[in-house]
Amino acid sequence: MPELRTHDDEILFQRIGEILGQPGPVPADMEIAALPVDSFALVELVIELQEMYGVRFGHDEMRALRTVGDLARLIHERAGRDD
Amino acid sequence: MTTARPAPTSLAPATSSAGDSQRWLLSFYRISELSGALFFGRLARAQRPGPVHSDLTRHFADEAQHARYWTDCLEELGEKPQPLGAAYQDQYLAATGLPANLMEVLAITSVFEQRVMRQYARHLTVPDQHPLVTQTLRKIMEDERWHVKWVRDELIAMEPEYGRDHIAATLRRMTEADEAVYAATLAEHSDRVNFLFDEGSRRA
Repeated sequence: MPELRTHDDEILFQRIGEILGQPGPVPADMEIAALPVDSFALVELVIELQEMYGVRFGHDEMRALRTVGDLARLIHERAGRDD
Repeated sequence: MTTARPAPTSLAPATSSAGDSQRWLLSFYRISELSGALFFGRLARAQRPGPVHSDLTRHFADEAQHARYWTDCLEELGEKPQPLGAAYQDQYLAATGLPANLMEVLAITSVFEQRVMRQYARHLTVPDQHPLVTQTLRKIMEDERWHVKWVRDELIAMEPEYGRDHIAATLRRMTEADEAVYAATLAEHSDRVNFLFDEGSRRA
């Protein structure tokens, strides 16, 4: 996985926090399964991030994600490949 | 990655009256339509403007209207909506896993909408049914036909991006999940409708 770009990460984690109704950015090591939201909010999060960054994830990639940081890395990897 | 809420509390139809079963069913439909509205509303909010965004918004508005129809129907029948723990959409997301992209969301929606159509069509054939329930079912089924069509058309339009075989495989995966959810958590719906059939036949 490529190194994350700090500024992009700030925006991304801030946006994830906003979508999830959190007061601030979500920590990168936070487990996605432990986020205090229901399944519908997670679907909204995934779709909105893909729209925002113009990327597409596959089912297997999604299943492999454990933390918010994993999600950020996947977005950066995919956005970099698609650029 | 999904969070599942507890399944609806089960009441044994054998000890229920027809009124109890009807109230449970209409409340079940109501909460399902409400959950659908919230789901499609969130998706519409997350989407960029375009044809899919417009259809999602219309779908969201329809589902909200359907929830209103069921609320009105219950009220006109002199009933209050029964609190239920979860809608079947919650069970779907738990069974299928979090959708990875919009195509997967639409594949779940396609399978789910067809399930709803079959459930409503079956309910429509209950003998000696209150005309208000029949009227509400018919009104909603008109919209549901459009829901099934737009989602099917959109999945066809996505074939160049995702691949026809991949979409077909996703639909098969969602159909298997639908059958598992129906067998495990939605059997009560079937029991309730069967109970109404038995009661209606006795009265006829």
